[in-house]
Amino acid sequence: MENKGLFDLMFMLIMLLLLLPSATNHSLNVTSSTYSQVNELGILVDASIADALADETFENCVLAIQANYNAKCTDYRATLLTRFNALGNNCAITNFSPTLTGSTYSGTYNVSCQKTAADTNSYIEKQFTFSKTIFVNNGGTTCRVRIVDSYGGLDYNQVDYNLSYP
Amino acid sequence: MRSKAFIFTITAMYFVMLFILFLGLFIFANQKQVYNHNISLISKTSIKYLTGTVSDTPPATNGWCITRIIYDANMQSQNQSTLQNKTYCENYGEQRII
Repeated sequence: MENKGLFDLMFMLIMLLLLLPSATNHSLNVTSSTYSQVNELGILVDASIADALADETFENCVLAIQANYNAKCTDYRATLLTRFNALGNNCAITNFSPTLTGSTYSGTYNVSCQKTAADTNSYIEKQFTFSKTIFVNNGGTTCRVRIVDSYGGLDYNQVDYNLSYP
Repeated sequence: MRSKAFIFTITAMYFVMLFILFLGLFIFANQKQVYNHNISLISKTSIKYLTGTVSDTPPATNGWCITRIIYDANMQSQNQSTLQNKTYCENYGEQRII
């Protein structure tokens, strides 16, 4: 009988040990779904384009050439993507194809995200369109730059700053 | 007087029952979704958080966290705007069985 009691005790202890993880605290860093990731990054890229256009325009306080805008956008986009993927996301930005017509910088870009959770592997790719109009006004000691998002006819000032210049 | 075989069988069944019971409890506690609400990362609180009316939440000791990037293109600077990380955490609450 003593042996049986000992076995019972061992049995209980092993089972309690197995149950222990559920009684402890768990903290988990999650990433959103690929659907949300694509939307989020798509909007962030849009903001980075506006930021790059404003900063490139401010450099000489005149409308720059397309190559300069493209380079600035690529630079800002790369920083953004590195930071975004550092959060545990696995996304890419491809086919960035802008055109500068007059003072309107427009084009498209693709954002794709991939996520593996347990046995589910999801991949989503979306194409985003943008159209931004650049306004610059050299006030002598200040430079006012405005980037107006004009896509879909809903114009709004995405960037509007008036900083001392030069 | 019961036969030894009978006692052995009953004892074996008793341990099998105990094993199944604990196994069931183990699966219930560990494999079951501990947070019984449908996890939506766009809850009422997180909408307030995303729109900026709620600042960073304290780290969860028993819950989940999600970090997002806030990009303010209109930051008054001639360099790339600061990419700010904002972390939202939500505790599981009392949803767990233990």
